Amino acid sequence: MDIITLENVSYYYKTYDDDGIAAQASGVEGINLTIREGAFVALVGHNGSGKSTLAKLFNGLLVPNSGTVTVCGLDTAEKKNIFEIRKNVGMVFQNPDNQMVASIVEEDVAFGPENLGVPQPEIVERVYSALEQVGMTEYAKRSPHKLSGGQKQRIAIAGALAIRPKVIVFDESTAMLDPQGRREVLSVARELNKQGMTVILITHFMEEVYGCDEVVVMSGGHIAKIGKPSEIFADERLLEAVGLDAPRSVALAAKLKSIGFDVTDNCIDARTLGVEVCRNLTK
Amino acid sequence: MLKDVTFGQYYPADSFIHRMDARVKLLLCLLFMVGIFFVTSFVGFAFITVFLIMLVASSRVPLRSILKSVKGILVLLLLTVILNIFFTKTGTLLCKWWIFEIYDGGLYFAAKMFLRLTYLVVGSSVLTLTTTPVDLTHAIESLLKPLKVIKVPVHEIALIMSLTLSLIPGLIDETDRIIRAQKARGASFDTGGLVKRAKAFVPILIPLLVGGFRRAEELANAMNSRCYEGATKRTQMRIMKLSWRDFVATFIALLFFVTVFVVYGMSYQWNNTEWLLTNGGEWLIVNGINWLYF
Amino acid sequence: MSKSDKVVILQAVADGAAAIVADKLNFTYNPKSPFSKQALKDVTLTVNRGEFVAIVGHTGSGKTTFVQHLNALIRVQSGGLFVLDHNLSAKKVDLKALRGSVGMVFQYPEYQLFADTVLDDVCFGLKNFGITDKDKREQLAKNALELVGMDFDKVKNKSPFDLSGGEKRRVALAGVLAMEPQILVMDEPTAGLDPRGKREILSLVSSINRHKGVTVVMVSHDMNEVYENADRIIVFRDGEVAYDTTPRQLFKKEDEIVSMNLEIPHMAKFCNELERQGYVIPDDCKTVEQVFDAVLALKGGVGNA
Repeated sequence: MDIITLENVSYYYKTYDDDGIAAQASGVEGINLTIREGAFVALVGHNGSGKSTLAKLFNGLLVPNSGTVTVCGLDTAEKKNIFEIRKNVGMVFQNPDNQMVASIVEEDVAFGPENLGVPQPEIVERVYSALEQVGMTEYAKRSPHKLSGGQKQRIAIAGALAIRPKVIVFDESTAMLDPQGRREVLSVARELNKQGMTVILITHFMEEVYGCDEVVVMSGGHIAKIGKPSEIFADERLLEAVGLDAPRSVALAAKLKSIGFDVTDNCIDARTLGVEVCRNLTK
Repeated sequence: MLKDVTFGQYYPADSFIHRMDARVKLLLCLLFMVGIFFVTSFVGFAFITVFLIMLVASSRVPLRSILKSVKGILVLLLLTVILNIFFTKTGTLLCKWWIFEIYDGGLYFAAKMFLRLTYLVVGSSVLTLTTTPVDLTHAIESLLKPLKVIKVPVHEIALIMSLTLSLIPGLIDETDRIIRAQKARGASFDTGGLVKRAKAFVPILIPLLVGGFRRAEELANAMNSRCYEGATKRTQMRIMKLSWRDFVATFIALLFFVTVFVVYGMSYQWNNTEWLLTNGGEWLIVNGINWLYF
Repeated sequence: MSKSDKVVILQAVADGAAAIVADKLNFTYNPKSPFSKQALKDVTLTVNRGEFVAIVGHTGSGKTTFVQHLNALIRVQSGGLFVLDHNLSAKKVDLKALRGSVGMVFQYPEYQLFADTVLDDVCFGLKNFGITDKDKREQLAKNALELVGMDFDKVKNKSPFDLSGGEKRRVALAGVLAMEPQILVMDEPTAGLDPRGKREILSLVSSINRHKGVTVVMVSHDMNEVYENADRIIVFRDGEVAYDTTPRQLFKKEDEIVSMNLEIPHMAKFCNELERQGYVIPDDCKTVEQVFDAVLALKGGVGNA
């Protein structure tokens, strides 16, 4: 079943020149995209490619200038639908410090359910089950300020989970984290997807894309290609054109294959590739 | 470094006072603040002293932390004492030098003012040292609730306080970072005249301001994404509950106040509206300063 | 450190061989308080002039504290530290001279931009370091902006806030480069950039290092970029120097690196596997292209034999 559908969607940002005359700068243009329920979709592209604009269109933070965005059958352009849409689409943003609304972890996670008007005993239950899901229960009474970047993002994920959405959008949520924090966030995202959550992962780290069901490559406000990670990684010319890199081991494997080595495509693990190359060399 | 600036004064401990309901603490503190201005006799102050010693002891907050807050208003204290000594012209003249005259009334008055202000700060710092800023915010929201009837946006006020609390540590970090970055580019903030120094802060203030807008926008997006739509149907996770502690504490405190104020203060003070007129302003200033501590 | 040791080290610095010498450097945050935290423990290391040194380590390992010592943003508590010809352990340090020759690029440097125009922002440091001649300032700013790949005439009068994220970062970088520092200290200069932006910044830093002889000290979390660009990697762990060696040598210790929560670069992992199976990979073989060529050579060798 399709949970989010974009039909011919365009969104323009207004910019102003020195004389205050408005001009339109394109955010995204002519986007057609469907996200299936339960899918793990990666949205990749260089900075300014329109991927974050797309994210904000998914939950009605932005409303398209033309075309329609439908979430769970609801049009995001209808004001009365917004609340229902946001209940279904949770968002985790880039900067962990700028999405905390309270100075105690459990109160921050409670913010969503409080807004929904959930009765108090259920708020507590939602908060603690969300914290459990991200493995942060023991930090419930702490101040988020003292936590690591990865832990802060897990709190933000819990905050989205407490609303009980069907989709979670990670809007470059790993961009500001160190490798450990990135691993933490990714493993939570993967775990949630396993439990049936639809996950949209927006990133420019190509290694995070590995293992997704589908990759949407954005460039200059357009969709450049949609495909499985293997298809995207294999398309060297596309990656070059949109300014992205395949993981180094994948790039090496592709190069070796082109001169006749028998190696697995899209080998993200360099050691496995090494083993295969050795086998080729001794042949 | 800015990092050393601790925000709020909360001193974590597990005491009777710490565990009291923040609303009760806040109300009793207000009562104390008002009440202390009705105490005029030294016997009354002796009672208050005993009360405060008991209070501090049962709060398990080290005396050092409390004296630190008193130190914060030292200048105001000295000013008050000096002004009162020289400008109160009641009682008998003790000595006279050039245009300065000191009366015994002035000395009494100065001593009482000194005690009053000191005790005021001690009392309110027990509140802030034993209550987290978050709890205080909740208490204020809860106590202001009746004002919703006259359309005071109580929930919004509380939300602003809560957001401020959660943004301040990040803001301090960012200020710190910008200062270091500009220092690395050769900026210095402690040389030159007043104008030059003020100018030196432009490279800090502008990035802070720009960053502030960026933060605000991101925060607004985050709040909207989490279904924030104002206070209309909001519920709250935290429930504040009164316990036996609060009743016991209220009883003891009221007993003290009534004894002290009625027996030693009020009867005398009622005739002295003139005092209230002259000192009301000062009372406001001191209270204002105390509120800034939150 | 005894006085004579100090003289010896100072001599090494004066000879021009070493750019940075740290000797048993210790630093504790909030000393004598319940919150005290020792961030550096007996850090001893040398960075030679013209070298590209990477400093890596888990968050909180002390690497940022260390690099902030290098231009006296953090003052030495104990131990010896010499940077160029400045003794930073001394009571008095000529901060202007030091900071003029040690350029420091912080994380997300674009957040420090403030001036009305790009030109003014780039000139901020120059003004502070006493270059009073306006034309000279403008010339230096022009050089720096062109070095980071910006069109000087096009951007000089623009507001820095109207630029894109990547451009802002390059302007911020130009603001440091304009002072023509002898040492460039960078704290995660590529954080938050997309792959193309990362490549641009790294090749810029590499070329400044190689062609202008600027000593580079770069803190990074990205092991792949460190592996390919640095001459030497210093690993911090719990405030101590855990390893100080070349990239190839360092990542041969796979288990130890993983136990420190650091990642192993793809190409290192690949080469390690080949070496385990008895193949010899040249030491300077680090990028995908270099490794590919090495495998080609091996294949040729196997074929011939």
